[in-house]
Amino acid sequence: MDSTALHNVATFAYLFATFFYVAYLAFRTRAVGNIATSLAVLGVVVHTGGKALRWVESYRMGIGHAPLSNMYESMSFFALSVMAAYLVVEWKFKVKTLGAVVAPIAFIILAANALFFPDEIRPLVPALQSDWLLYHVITSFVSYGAFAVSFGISLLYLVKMKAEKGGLKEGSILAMFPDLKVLDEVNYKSIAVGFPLLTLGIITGAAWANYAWGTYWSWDPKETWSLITWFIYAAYLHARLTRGWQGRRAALLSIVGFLAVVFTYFGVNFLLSGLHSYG
Amino acid sequence: MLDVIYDALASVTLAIFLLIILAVTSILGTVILQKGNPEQYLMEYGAGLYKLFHFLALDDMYRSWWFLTILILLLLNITTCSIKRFPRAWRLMTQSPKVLDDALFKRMKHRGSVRRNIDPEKAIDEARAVIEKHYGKVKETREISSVTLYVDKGWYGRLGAYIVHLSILILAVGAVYGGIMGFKGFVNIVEGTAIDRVPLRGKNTAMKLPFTIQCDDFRVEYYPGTQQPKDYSSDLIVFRNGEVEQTKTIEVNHPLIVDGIYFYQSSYGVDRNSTVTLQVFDPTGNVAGPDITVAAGQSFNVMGDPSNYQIEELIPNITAGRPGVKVAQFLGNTHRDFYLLEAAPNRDKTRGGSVYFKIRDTNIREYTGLQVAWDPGVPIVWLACIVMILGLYIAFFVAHKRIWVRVDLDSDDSAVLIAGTSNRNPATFEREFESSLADLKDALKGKKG
Ligand code: HEM
Repeated sequence: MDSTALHNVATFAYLFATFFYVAYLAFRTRAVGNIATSLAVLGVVVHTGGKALRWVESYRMGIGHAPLSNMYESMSFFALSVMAAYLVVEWKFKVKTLGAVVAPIAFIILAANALFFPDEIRPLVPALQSDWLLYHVITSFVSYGAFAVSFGISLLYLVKMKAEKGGLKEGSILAMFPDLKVLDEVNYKSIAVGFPLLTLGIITGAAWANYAWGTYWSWDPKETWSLITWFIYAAYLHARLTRGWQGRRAALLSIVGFLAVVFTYFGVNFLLSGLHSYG
Repeated sequence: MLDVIYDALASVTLAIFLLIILAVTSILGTVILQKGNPEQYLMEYGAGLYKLFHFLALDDMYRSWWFLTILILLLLNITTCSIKRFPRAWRLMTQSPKVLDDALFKRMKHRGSVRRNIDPEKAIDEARAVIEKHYGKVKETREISSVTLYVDKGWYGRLGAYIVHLSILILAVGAVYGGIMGFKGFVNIVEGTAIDRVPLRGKNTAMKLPFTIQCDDFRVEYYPGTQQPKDYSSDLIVFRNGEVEQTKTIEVNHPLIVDGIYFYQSSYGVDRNSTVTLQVFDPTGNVAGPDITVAAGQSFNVMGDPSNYQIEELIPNITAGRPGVKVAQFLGNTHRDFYLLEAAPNRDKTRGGSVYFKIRDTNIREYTGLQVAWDPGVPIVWLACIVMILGLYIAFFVAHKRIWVRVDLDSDDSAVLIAGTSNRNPATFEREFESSLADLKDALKGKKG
């Protein structure tokens, strides 16, 4: 069994979890919900095992480094963070319904990864050989996971709010999702977790830059985009303090924030140039 | 009038506006080339756009007057807003009522009243047990006719936002201080030579160092069996007052630090004064002329050969750790490149030219390119980061919760009042409150219930 096989198992676990979360929405049977959660947990466990094994494999090849160094590895970690962040939300807020939105995101990321990015383990270029890489990437990506959850919830918020205005029918699928008030709070909560982590991600990046070349901030596009993301979520947090900005407008800001996350992650790599040559 | 300006300056609306403006304008600098030279802009954008960019300082926007103005406005906004709001927050932290009177009870969103079937003193004990189980340490206020149990938890949670705001001001101080006092530069040191001046970036001056740095050797290490670089390193020696103070091999990500000045391994190359000495042979292996000593970029001819040769590149270790040369040959309109390798002296014979070359000797010296930076504001910036993380933790994960329970002592059958409030997570708090209310109901039922 190699790490790629474990990644494949996790991919399918997320796919089946998606089916069962959707079925849970429709039927609301406890057993279906439990199967969905079990599949999601199984996926996360196998996925984590896959990451660990890949780490070991790289050492066996004599080019040992944490499995967080290229697009394939960081995407995989991103999907793992999304699912782990979601399971925490499910457990803390007892809302299984959101799994129908989040599990497919993790599945799509892993599937896209398998289709578009090579999974071979490559040696690290010198600029990435630093322990700071580990701290920097982990904090950044766990925050991305939390933001992805808030993104899913914000979309749901907007859809549900629109439907409620038109008069929501009892028993329709949207009616099964939590109340707008609860959605708004879970949204805030996941940003309240994501924001400090993003801050830590930016700080560890700056610490690395300073340790490595004596400059903690150089306005390189990746740095700048992470700061842009940070500004947007700071705006979100403050928006909640003034009345008019709760609910819909806050959800919109959170969506914009996640678009900035995605651009920081992909757009900068593929569209702009800078120091960061990886994800 | 001043009031109006102050209120606007201290408003959260302005904060949201400024944060969004900062996010949007920051995008420009990631799309438009920053701090390039004029030719680059002219080539990429044309004269008209370049003029516009330059006028709006978009070619160096993060240091432009208008971007700095937004940042300064944000700092003023944070400062005034925090000052304006702090007194109220402080009152909420420190001056909570110790007694649950009827007015306070009515004001609370989370409240309940529970019938008690047991005598007051027992009810107080039971209530205390329930509240301590749910919320922790209880204080007691005894009045003539009633007793209030009171929990005040995480009062400092309200400080979190202010700590974060303070950290941003500290960060600004560190950044400005470092920007004014520090410097950044770049220097090349040729192997076997030393420098004591660093040309500053973006300026025409150099910084004189109170020590000299010599480079003994520069190396590139490859992953085994590949052409992929594993590491770049330089052996450096620091001299002060003529004596060796420190020797260090620096690599990418592992800089030399002297007096707080960072020397970071950033680039490398071959020194322009490097030369190669070539022997010339005719195809039968006889010497066909005097040896030729040339530097990179120089051209040369061989007597009786119509070709013109030029040294394209001197390569310090191309095969088996030995040097090589890339040569261009021009004959009429044709042009071809070939390599000479010290490790394979007879290789050039097979090229089939009218003469062939062997490397007799090389004098190749590399230089190491060091990025140099000194920033005395860094400790202040790290302090700010630590304070910020601490503040964020407190702001988001410490809730200020207050719970009151009042037991009336006089009439036997009176209700026990419970009320509570939390400054965050209303839904979570509500669940918690409901569950403690249910427990309280159970506890006050007495044995018969
Ligand atoms: C980049 C800049 C800023 C950051 C990172 C920041 C951070 C924070 C954080 C983390 C909180 C706690 C949020 C919450 O509890 O949900 C907060 C609260 C707050 N911020 Fe900011 N802030 C910034 C700028 C500002 C500015 C410019 C203002 C000016 C009006 C402001 C006003 C407030 C207020 C009024 C609160 C609520 C305080 C309270 O709960 O008593 N912030 N800020």
